[in-house]
Amino acid sequence: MTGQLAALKAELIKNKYANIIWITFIAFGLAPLMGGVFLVILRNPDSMAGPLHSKSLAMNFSADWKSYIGILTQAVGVGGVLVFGFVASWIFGREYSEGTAKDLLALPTSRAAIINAKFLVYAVWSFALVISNLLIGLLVGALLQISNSPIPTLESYLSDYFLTAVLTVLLGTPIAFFAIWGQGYLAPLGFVALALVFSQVIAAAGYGYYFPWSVPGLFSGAGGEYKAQLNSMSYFIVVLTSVTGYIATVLYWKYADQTK
Amino acid sequence: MDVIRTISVSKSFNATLALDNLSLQVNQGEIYGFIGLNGAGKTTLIRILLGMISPSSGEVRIFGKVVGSDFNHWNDIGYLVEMPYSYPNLSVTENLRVIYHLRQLKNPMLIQTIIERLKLNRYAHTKSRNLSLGNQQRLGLAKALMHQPKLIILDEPINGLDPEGIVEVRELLKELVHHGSTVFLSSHILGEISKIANRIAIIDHGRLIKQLTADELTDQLIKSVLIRTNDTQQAMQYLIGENYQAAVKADDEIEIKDRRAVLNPEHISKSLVEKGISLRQLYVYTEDLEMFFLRTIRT
Repeated sequence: MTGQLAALKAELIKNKYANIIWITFIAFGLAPLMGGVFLVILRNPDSMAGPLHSKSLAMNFSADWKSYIGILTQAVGVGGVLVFGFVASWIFGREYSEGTAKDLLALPTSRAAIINAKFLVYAVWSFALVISNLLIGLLVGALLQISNSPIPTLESYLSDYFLTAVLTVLLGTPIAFFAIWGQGYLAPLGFVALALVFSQVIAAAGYGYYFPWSVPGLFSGAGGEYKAQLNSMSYFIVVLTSVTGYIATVLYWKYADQTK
Repeated sequence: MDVIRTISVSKSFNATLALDNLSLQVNQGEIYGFIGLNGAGKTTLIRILLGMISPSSGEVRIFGKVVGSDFNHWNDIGYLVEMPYSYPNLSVTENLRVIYHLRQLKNPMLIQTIIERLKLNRYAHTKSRNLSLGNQQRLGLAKALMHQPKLIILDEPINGLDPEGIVEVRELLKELVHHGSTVFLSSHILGEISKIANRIAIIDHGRLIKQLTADELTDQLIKSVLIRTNDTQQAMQYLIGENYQAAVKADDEIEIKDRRAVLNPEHISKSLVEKGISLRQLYVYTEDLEMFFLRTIRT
């Protein structure tokens, strides 16, 4: 436990001045702002007709809290794969890109504790992004006066929002493995891009419920009626992918030759 | 008592044999210089000593314990492997604080003490990305030495240091050894190794080809007397007549390799003058570690 706390303290110092934190918050925060843009467009169909208006109609988007929180949930389920993947790539890949990995390998603090601290920071960072987007969304919604109070809708959709976040965050562990295996950012970012593309293609082909990176998007409602295809096996696959990614990361970090 | 012992350690990376059946031991309280060309296997051995790489065969023991997943003496070891990278967005103090926590140290004064010892005071709050190469090297050494380890493993520790820094590090290492630490030092700056190492090992193509003490090294270095006179031919006649192993080199320089000449060069000077031969130069040459190293790996 002492080692775990020590690793966590060290990890927090490392991230103290990381500009990348604010970049991810700004990038992820674009989703509720875009949702706000859709709201404005829908309210002014005559003056703001165009591709975005057509897109909002195609998404069955309407100017209410249900639609708006739905957009935020889809942003977590689809955009989260990208942004959380970016976060995991950075947290785990930076040690190689900055040349500091070798400083973490021969210490009284175990290698597993160091990896666990990184996963903890990854989870906290990702959930902070999730909460930040929710708060930005509520603020934008309130400013645009979607309805009198978002609270009843929020209650009914909050579980979907956070469950989508949990499913997406769980999928960060294989990305951590690719960062350590690839010794830098390139391999995990490449994997994230591929996972994102495949998640869309496989979901569009109707098999997304068995592809882990499609599941959060489908659960968020981004795939419309495909959400009904999700079953316990879908969630089991996500958990299995996460656990496998975690074990592979720890084992690789502990036992593979570290030459960089 | 040996602090480091490697027993028939070999390491292959696919088809490349990086270390070949390497056995060595480093005794407590000595500075062990480890030299070899780039790619000879120095860093591979250092990474094996630190548990970063597993040997393909053989065993490594530090403080008598096998280096593996159960090894728990890491706080008795300080190390610097290759380039001294640090977190670029953190200051010198913050970088040291990261290592302080990871080493689970309990005395916060250790950070300030090592900053002062390595003369990093002026840069304590400077982000490491803004440090010169020499100061980054000092920071790397600070991370290695902060916890006052019993064994210090350093890979190219004086890279980038200015002459003053080199002297400081040399004195620091000597002081640490004086207080009971052991230093395992790899460097390609052979002059530096020869100045501080008690024992030297030469590695080539992954094999340990020579291991000798500083005294043995002194004995094995080629020494000769180099003279120039006003009459090379007459001088050679005299020297050969006196059974000296003399030979004329370029620019009429005569090289005498006899031990008696090296030990008593004044005898040659006196005898030549008595024969009416004037000396323009008399110089006792001693091979340096660089030449010795090259001669060793080429034979």
